[in-house]
Amino acid sequence: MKRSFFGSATPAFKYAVSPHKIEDIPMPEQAMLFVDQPKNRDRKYVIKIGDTVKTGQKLNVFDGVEATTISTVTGTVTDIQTYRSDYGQTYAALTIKTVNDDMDEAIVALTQAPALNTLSPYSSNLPGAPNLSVFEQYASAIHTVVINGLDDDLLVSVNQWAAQYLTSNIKAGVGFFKDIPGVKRVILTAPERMLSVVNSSGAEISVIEEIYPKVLPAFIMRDLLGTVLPAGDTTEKHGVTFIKAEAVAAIGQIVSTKTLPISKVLTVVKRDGSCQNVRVRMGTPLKSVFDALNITTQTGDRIILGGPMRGTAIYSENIPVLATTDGVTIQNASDIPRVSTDPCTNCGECIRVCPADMPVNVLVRYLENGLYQEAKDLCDLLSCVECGLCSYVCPSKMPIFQYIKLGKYELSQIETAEEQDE
Amino acid sequence: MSNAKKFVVSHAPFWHNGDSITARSYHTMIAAIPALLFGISTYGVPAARVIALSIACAMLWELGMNYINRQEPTIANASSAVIGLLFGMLLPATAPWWIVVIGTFLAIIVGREIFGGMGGNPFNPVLTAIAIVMLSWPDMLDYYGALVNYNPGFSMIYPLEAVKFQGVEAVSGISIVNLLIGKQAGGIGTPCGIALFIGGAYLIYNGVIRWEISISFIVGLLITAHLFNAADPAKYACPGFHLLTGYTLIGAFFLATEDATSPVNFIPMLIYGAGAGFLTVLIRNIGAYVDGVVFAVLLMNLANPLIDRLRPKPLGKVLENA
Ligand code: SF4
Ligand code: SF4
Repeated sequence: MKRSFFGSATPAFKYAVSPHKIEDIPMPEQAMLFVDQPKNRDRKYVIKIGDTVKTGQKLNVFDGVEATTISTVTGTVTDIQTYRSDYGQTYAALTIKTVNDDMDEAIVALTQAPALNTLSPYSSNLPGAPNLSVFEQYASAIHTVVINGLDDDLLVSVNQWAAQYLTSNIKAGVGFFKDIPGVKRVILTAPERMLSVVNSSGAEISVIEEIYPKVLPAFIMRDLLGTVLPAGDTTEKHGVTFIKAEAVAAIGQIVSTKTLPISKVLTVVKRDGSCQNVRVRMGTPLKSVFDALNITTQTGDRIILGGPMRGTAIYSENIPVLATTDGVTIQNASDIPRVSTDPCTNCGECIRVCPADMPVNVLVRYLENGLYQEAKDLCDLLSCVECGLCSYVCPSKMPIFQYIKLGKYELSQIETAEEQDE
Repeated sequence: MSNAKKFVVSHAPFWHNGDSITARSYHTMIAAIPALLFGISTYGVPAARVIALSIACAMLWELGMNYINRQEPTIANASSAVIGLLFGMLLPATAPWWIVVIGTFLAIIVGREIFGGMGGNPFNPVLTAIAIVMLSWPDMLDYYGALVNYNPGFSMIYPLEAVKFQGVEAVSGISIVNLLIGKQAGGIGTPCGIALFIGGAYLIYNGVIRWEISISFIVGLLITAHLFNAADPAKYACPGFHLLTGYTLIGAFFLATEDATSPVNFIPMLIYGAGAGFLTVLIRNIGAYVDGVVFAVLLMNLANPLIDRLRPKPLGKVLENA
């Protein structure tokens, strides 16, 4: 996907077609579980090394913090560390020595009679991390559920796979959403070529163009639902919620088979750019996934959670596959594009490519200088749909996308601080 | 979580299309080759000398500025080489060495670096320099006088000057075809219409320049020239004449399209281009100068920040008070 020295054609990004084949990654000897760390400093751990956890058990890690994370394995805690992620997010990372699964009774009871209110506190643990709490938060105001049959980044094909090959679960999941009070439409978005398989899902089918980034929520809202999402608003505020196909299948699995989904599909993008889908127990460290696939990593490589346009580079291969992890990409040192300190030359490539019609060339000048408020007020920072295409084309190789994310983050920090002051 | 392996961490996206400033500079230089070859074949070694000196000086000025600013040298991206090249192409082959040295200083330092370097300049550096030279040493750009010693085998007149002071009659002997193949006096890289068209097409094909600007410049120029010509055919030359003389084509493809000083949004690009074309003819026909491209483009550079505010509404922008 390089622009050649000669020729003007900018390739239109199409999604990779999901392979049918899927490989099962064996249960790892050591799993790792991530629990959100509370932001306050005086947090106290109530879990300690040597404790045992069961599959499906709520993980009480911090004193006075209600547990929302459940264990996806059974075993003994052997280590507790802190993992720092992007933008100040930290996790308590529990290393678990695994043994054969022993299901927690509470969760077994839950899966026997799944209902919205009992599932919703746990939903973020399910593959694809659906957010069911929005239905309660907006008390029946959510009228449309959009199921994404495509993934939000290139090369990743987890939701495609789920929509195509987990049809009975999807069907059960669609039924679950249809029964939620207030929900009038359940729409499954899929490209033309998937129509024959998704037609029987029971959901309303919307055909979408398979071109990146047309599947991001803002465009689905505009193109399929005819509502332009005001910049900075959540879709839920406008009565629409987005759920990944894999998450729908997970809920469908609970409904139809009364079992808890603890494995998820993961797209592994290898060095040569080839993609493979694997089924993996959540909590499996990436290292174990690589080992099972005979992938060796070395210093200088880049490991990305997610796909090439919107993923997050990580500094350790010990971090686990989470409910939200859809892809992992490995890049050779030699394939990593250089960054540069060149300034914006105002070439206008970003303007041509931006699907949200952002004034990127001006925006970047504000962001470079830390003028986040101005960036928001004068250059509509919040309209950005975070597709990354501007950075992809910038001849100066400016980290535009990084500036944008940072700007949004800083603004949200300022807003939270202001709210706390009030 | 200690880890012996050190992975490269950076921000998304993790792909890049491979485009770079350096590539764009090289493209521009390649695009200039046909016009340059023509200039050198017509004027010989002196032309080559001016171009070489101009490129070298421009790069040295930038290097000097890097040194003063304690920056890593940035000349490898060849952007100053392009400025030097274009400046040289505008000069007559007989330009003395000191005008090249001063001119490139004006272009690189005054035209660009003091505004913060690449991308920060409000005016096209090449045009800034040539405008100052034009005002300070008007004789230097008098192609007539400067080239009088040449005998390239065709009538060596500078058509714009002839038409300005003697009317259309004076140039009736020059056919459009002759202009197209460069049988006219002018700068080293400016007379040959065909060569500049080839260069422009190359730049547009490779996406280095924004075609909207070039096309609207040419269209604006042709329409304005046509209106003048229709009003008084004896006094004002025909559109084709304006298209193929002076700096028109080098302006349309190499100068007006300079990134930092031209708009990036669609409608503004059209306004900018057409405005520059219109002003060019206006200055040529009723203004004080023989060629209007330099000042027309500089004026549009000035208006650029304002014009470029006409941008599309971003997705989901909520109009206040609406
Ligand atoms: S990431 Fe860049 S290209 Fe994509 S919407 Fe935002 S500004 Fe536009
Ligand atoms: S693509 Fe990069 S260099 Fe070009 S205008 Fe946008 S930010 Fe500036």
